Amino acid sequence: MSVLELKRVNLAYGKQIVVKDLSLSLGDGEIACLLGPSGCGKTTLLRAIAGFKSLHSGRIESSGQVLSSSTHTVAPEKRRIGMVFQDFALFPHLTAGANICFGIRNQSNRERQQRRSELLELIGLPECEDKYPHELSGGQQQRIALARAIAPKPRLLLLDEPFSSMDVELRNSLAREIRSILKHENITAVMVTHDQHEAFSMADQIAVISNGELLQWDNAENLYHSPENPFVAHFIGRSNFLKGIVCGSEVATVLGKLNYKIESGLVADASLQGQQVDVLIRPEYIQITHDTEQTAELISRDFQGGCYRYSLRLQSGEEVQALLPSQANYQLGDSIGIALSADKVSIFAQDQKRR
Amino acid sequence: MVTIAIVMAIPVIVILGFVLQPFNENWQHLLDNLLLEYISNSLLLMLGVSVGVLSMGIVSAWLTASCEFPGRAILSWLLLLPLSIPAYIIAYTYTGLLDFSGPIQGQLRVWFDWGYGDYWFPEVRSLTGAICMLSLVLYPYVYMMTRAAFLEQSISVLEASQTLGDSPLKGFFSVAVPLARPAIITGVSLALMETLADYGTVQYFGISTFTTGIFRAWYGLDDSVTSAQLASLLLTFVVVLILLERYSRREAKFHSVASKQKGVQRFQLTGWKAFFAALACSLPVIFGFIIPALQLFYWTITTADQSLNKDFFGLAMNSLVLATLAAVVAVCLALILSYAKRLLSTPLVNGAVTVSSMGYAIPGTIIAIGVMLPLAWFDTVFDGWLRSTFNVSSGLLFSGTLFALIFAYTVRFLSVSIQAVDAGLSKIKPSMDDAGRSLGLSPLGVLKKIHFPLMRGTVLTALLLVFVDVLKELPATLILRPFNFNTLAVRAYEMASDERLADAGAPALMIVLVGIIPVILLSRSIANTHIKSNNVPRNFGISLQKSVVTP
Repeated sequence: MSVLELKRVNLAYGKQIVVKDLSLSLGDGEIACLLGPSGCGKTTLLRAIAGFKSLHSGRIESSGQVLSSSTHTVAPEKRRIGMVFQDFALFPHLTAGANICFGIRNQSNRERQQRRSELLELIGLPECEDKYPHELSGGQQQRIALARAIAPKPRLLLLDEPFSSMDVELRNSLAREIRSILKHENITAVMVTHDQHEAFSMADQIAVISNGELLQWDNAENLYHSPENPFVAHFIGRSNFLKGIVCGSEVATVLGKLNYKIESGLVADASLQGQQVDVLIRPEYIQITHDTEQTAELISRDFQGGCYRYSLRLQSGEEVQALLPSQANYQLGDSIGIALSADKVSIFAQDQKRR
Repeated sequence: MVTIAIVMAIPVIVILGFVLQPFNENWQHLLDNLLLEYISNSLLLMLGVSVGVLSMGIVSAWLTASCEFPGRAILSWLLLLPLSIPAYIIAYTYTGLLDFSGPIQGQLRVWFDWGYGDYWFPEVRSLTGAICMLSLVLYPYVYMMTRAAFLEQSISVLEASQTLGDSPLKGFFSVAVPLARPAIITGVSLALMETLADYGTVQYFGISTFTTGIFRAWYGLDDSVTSAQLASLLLTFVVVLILLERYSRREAKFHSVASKQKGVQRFQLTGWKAFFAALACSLPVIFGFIIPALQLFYWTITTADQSLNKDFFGLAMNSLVLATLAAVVAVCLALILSYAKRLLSTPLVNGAVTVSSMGYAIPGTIIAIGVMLPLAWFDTVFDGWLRSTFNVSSGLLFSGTLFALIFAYTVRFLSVSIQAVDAGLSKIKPSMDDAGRSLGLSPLGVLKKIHFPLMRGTVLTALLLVFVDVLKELPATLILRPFNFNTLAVRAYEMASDERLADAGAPALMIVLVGIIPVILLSRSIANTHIKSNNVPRNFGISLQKSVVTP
């Protein structure tokens, strides 16, 4: 039985629907991520799961128990759902240790102490027990907030943009650390973020949300290599779209013929043959080669350490981006021979590139 | 919420309502003889006080904010101390010092063997004297606001002006002052509101202004209509100041070029420059606080055997009870309003809070009359009704009772408590409520376990701020106090009016001593937190922020 089950959830502010018909389910110990641009409704959805927002329609269930429906909302304090807040929301009048014990204040003294030292050990901050939140750094506050949320052993943990106030380096190391803590404790968790790298390093399953709609619910690899939808293709990673024409089991582009797989907006029937489609080309599909007639002009480049990101103008006038090793040193205006190397590319109906 | 706002607005509405009443012959008399004098005196007073507070306030603010010289740290909070002395009390002390019979003139006569009329000496009890007195105790408003603005200015802006060829001093005039202008205007408008509200000083110095005129019409002519009409005229002056203050506070947001720079770079002053800087910052403290405080202390000691008697403790008790009651009422209302604003931030609730916090700008005299008139009317009508139907008399139910006084204090000082409570409440982020809920607390539990411990300090501060303000308030107390009910402020006023200045010393010193407490709290909170110029409220309405919240 799934730890979290959303069934056709609709959320609204007044008359404005901000989350539409969203369904997904999450198994025991899985870490999920709600990913989307700001204002897409992901934080509202998280607050609905926590019980701070009631549903317009639909249901939220956990292990068979209905937590929210359009008529009934179980109070947040009765849900056994922990939450880590964007600004941590540590209680400034309590020490780190007392903050951690806040949710288990009904347990016996001994149990509390044991759980507290266990968690402080787990998050690697045993020396911070008696410090007040303002004496801790951002990363330490973050970990105390996490320990506080998981101390009562919640059935589900929610994290609201947990790394947004950190600098980039801290983000990556904390994300890895927190993932290992959650896995160690076998905690089912849902995280909200707008940063795909955070989502990739934390989550088992990612829900891409735009304008309140769930576009794809999948793992990171599938989101990257077979986005079901042009928005997902654009939002995840860097992407180029080339025009192509379907012929047989292949699609013909200016860079040659490739195998394809069909995504949303297209139907695999006879009418597909000869149809103009958009073909998703990831930058790393493009390779340099000398034995080709297909050349492209280098119009800008961006040094990124191990590689250059080139913008190339094809003979057809279309522009693509490519990631190429930085040893190969081309100058602006050079003509470079390129070819595609990919097993299968995703194709989309034209005219529906962006939503 | 709306009910609170309406009740708080009653005094002002009543006063404004009297504009519609027909003008009587007293008004004609005023118009012919006195009104011009009231207006010109009030304007001259405002002009003089503006010059005084600007010169003292800006210079001391700039020196303590951007220069380093011996004693800077201590002076930067000593400069706030004159706030603790009400204007009428400083007026009494300087009259005592500089009068014909005072120690200064007496010593001069001994040294030079002068007699009466042989020499010229500046008259304290004059318009100029009043300007000096008010400036000496009101400049801290400008100092506080401007200093915060200077500290907030990014040092790089000043450095930029230097790389473009300005000397530090020129940079001060061409960059720092223009950037701080909104803060300066806010400070001046606060000082001018207090100037307009002043009754004790101008009355004692015999200067006819609006407030003395209102009192004269009220007591001398026994004409409540004319005094209310005068009050509404004064109110228009106040409204101009309120608009000016609001406008400049809004403006301040655009002018703040705040960059998060830690550690202000100060110009190191040495030698005679440092000496003059220290002198310039010491003079306002010496004249605005040390001399008057010493004078009060001296009077208290010399009259101790008669003044510190049972009577005095009765007075102190009256003041204490009154100020405590008013503080509790104001803070309870502030808590209701602030929580309402937090929970449902609708335009209606926000409007109610704004209306309820307008009282700070309105002179106590106006509020007192605005409270007295409707209560007296109600008492008369109710009494008449009782007499006619039951043939019994209710007497005075509200007017001339503590209720009227506390109502007036609440109207006047509610904004002080709202500001303090708001500042404290804003430290409890909404996510903390949510965190409490997700950790198993009911809404009531959140209030008990999270809000109560965090708000305790804030509420105490708010109580204290209202308490001190009530203790100092003179005109409203004079008008509304029950018969034979005296407070420290009233006693000081009465003694001074009877030319028994030395006997005014003990109650005045008491007021000043209690008044120092919020100044210390204020300077601590300024030291602890970087306060934005557009957040510095009036009447020290600043919560203790960090110093209270962190154990």
